[in-house]
Amino acid sequence: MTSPARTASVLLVGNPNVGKSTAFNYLTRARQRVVNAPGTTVELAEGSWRVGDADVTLVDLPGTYSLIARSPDEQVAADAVADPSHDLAVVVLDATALSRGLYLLGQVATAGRPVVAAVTMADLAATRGLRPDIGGLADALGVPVVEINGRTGLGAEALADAVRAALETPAHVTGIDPHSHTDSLHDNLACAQHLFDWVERVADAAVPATPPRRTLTDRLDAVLLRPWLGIPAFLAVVWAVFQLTTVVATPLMDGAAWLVSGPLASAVSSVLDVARAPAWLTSLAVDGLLSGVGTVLSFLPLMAIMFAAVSVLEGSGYLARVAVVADRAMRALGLDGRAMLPLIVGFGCNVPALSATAVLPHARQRLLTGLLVPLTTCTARLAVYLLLAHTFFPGQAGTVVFLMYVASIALVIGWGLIARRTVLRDVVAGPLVVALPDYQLPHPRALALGVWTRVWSFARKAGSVIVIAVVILWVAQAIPARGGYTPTEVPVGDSIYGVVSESVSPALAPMGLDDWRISASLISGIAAKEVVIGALAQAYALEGADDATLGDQLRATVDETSGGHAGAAALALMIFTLSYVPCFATLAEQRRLYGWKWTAGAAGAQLVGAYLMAVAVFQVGRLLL
Amino acid sequence: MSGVFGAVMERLTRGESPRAAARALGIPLDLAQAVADEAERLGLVIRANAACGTCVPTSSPACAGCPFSGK
Repeated sequence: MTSPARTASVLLVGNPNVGKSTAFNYLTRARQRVVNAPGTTVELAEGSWRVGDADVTLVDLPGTYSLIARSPDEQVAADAVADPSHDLAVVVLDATALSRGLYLLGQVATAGRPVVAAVTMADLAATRGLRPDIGGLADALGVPVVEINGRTGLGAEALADAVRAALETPAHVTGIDPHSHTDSLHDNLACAQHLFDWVERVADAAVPATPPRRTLTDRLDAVLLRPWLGIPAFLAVVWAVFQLTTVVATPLMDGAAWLVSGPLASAVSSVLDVARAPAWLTSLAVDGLLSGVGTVLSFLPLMAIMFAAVSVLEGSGYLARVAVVADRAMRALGLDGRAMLPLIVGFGCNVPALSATAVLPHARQRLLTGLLVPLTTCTARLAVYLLLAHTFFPGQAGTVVFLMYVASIALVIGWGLIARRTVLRDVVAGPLVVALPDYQLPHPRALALGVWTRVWSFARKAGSVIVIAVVILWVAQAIPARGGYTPTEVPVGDSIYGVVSESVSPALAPMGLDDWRISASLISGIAAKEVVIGALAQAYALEGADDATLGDQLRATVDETSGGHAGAAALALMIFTLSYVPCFATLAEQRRLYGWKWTAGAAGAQLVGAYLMAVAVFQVGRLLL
Repeated sequence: MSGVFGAVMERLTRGESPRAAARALGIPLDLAQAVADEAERLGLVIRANAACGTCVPTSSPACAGCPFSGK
């Protein structure tokens, strides 16, 4: 027993949601206080607990599954267990998940703390045929084990007796040698293997092993995790998502575009007229900002539907299966399987995908994956595909967009194979190990919140990056390069913007796209891919051609530049948009991670590859379409 | 890797869920889940959404379009 002058300190340790705090409240009643854990902002509940003739301090630690912490709360629990000033740990075990609790108990014992075990939820376990043999468990552990119920007080006295006895004669767990914790992976791995074998032996002594029954998740996985069924199933799911997205979103997009170009543009013009704003300001506001940003924002309904569909796939646990199946396919091709997760992130946005390459253990693997990330087609490029698919393939827009995603995957694999056989021969493939969750129905509120957050973020980006880009473009369009015009009154074709774009556009002739507005939009897209459509809309709006929609005007242009093979030229434009130079943000992140040499080399290779592919698509396509 | 830890890890490496691993090995589900959880803490296993946790979309406009990013 500790000295009379000192109150013994007892830790209450356990997995989350095992009834630990309920037991704490019952044992300490009103004699509690909340304190900050030393050196942290994590709050702990401490209470005074009457044990026999003496009071002890009972500390309710944050719930954790392991003493290898991954949050500040868990670190507090781990630090407290390692602190020798505490006299005893009461480890609370959930009888319905005994093994998980036993593993934590084993870690507490490894830290050298004397232990008493308290078993909760035994009644619930009994209904499942899992009631533990308390005596058998105590024999296997070699420490006192008490069944308790924090709601009814069952076992409270027995627990107090066990704690009093353990404070007098500290009880240590059988079969575990205490040793100090290290940060060595090798040591921790060896310790984990030893502890799990011990857990299995102890659990076998206390409760019969009952492997889980076969569930719907197992039946679905039996099909969806087979590579030759899983990949076609995934492609079918993605195709269905794009079909759904394009069918449902089309009227919403048309409505939003009408709202921006019709009533909203008229209202802004009227207000500026009333305010006697100069013509250049009206031009900037209506033909520049409203036209460019408005066109992009008209994609918000589509983005919302797309995000919702992807969130459902993600929340249901399906995307994790896709990663596993794709991992197998990629390893079969000699690529590193662990690269799958960053590449999947790349289909959302390339910049965070580059950050996500941090999950790869070796620098060369991160480099290879990071160079492939820009070939995953981000949502910004999706907006371009949708405009072109709706305009040139109105009956098969969903299928065309789906094929662009297939093309993106093919490019990743193709470029990956080329890199593995040329500049990155030394990359070693390794497995992706994912702890697959069970399938579940996504929570509607979380789904709605997630969609709102992402749509709002997208809108804010349109409101910042795109506004800046559009203003810069408008300025370039207002400065004359020829013809003796005054600034702001120059036709766009004679502005700096028009002349530079015009000088580039002949290079697009082999793709059937020799038009300065198209070359201008592609140049603008290097800043951010979202700007491509905004730049197109702005160029047509500034020309003030007629009241036709952006799609109609673009169709007329491409019909002319392609010699009547608009479909082939549109496909070439989509392929070029998919794979030409990444946006500034991606290039900057690549440069930060890999340096100028790799970034410039990869961007140059992408540009040349994109050009050759787009030319091939048009030249072959015009024979077929 | 050896013992029950190694056996569960081998199943996870094959692309099985902890549930499927537990059934195949005849062990309780929570034991397989504990192995997966500890392996993740040791950096041997990736959680399904681990790669997406590297960014917070509201903190960077560059992440705005990412449907896979964390919160």
